[in-house]
Amino acid sequence: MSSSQTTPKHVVDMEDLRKVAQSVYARNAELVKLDKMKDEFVALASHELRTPLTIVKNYLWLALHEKDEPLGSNTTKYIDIAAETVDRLMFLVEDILTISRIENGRVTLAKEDVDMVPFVRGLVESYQVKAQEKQIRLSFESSVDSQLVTFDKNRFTQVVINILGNALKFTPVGGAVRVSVDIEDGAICMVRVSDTGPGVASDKQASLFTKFGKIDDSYANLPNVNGTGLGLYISKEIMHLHEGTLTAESVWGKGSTFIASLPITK
Amino acid sequence: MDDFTKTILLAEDESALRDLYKNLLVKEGYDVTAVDNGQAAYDQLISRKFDLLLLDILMPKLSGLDLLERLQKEDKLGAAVRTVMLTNLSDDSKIAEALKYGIRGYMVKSNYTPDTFIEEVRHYLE
Repeated sequence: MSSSQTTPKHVVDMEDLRKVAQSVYARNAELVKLDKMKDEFVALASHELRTPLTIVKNYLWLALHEKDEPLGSNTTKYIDIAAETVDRLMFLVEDILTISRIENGRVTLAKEDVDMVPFVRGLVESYQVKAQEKQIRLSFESSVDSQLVTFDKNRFTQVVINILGNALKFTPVGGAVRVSVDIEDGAICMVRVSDTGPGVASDKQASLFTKFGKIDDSYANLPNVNGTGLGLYISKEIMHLHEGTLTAESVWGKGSTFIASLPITK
Repeated sequence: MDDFTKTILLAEDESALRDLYKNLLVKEGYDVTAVDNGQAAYDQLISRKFDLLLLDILMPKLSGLDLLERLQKEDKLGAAVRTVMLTNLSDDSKIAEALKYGIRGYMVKSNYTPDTFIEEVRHYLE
């Protein structure tokens, strides 16, 4: 080897290397955290799926082994329970798929300009029959006659139906649910849903918007309160996709208010 | 009910399963008390003695594991030897945690049909 040939010398900037290493460590920690969250979600989802499957499996077994006449009252009751539970399973699977689409960035919003006031009023009217059945006073009011807001009608409907449906579900017979549209500083349109239900204790409010974050004590004594435990998480994510927010204000024993806020683009 | 009738405390928050298990057990001749949360199970446990406690892990107010922990703290874990955990959790660590309290065993609910459920309960009562 001649003396003129020298080995190429790589100059390593230690500072750059340190920064790269730091970013790799940070990314790795983030991935580990995400992986753990995914594991926890799969564990919870499998439990939530197994429970209705257990119900269907057992009640169909009873129907098949019922000794009285075919399709007698017992058999019909067992099949009814199984059928209702299959509906619950379908909602759950739909919600899990929606979460998967949202978290993988596969939800594209079809935004359009919509007048929020008649839009929300229409949704409230569609729930009047349900409210009357439960003797709940359902009212609507708006601080403005009209307000154009840009959003995906289907997705935002999902959010309003979720918080309105929850309000009707948790409000006892004879209670009241109030829906309103308000504008804050001319920049934010807020849809508020207030109820006279049991409310949520302050230390439990953070888990309201988590996956399967049902607030046990609030509904434990209420009859027929079912849900996938994913609705508020999905609603919050839909609001984030719109660059909006979904928040809750509640006092234990004194009802809750859920507020879906959207930016008004001019 | 005579002195030989076995008593069972069933704690299960899912109403369709609670009704199912209660009806099956009553039909078998057992004296069944059914509750829908851990706190109610605790209240029952400290007021009378049961031959078997069928305890769901995930329940409102007080989970099955929290109930066992509370009994241990209050030195009343004697009830645990007659406890069989009911679960549909895929997380084995919760079952392992329950077994540490010296419980009798556990049943993964989705594995059973009414006939095998009753058979298993009978086995635990032997």
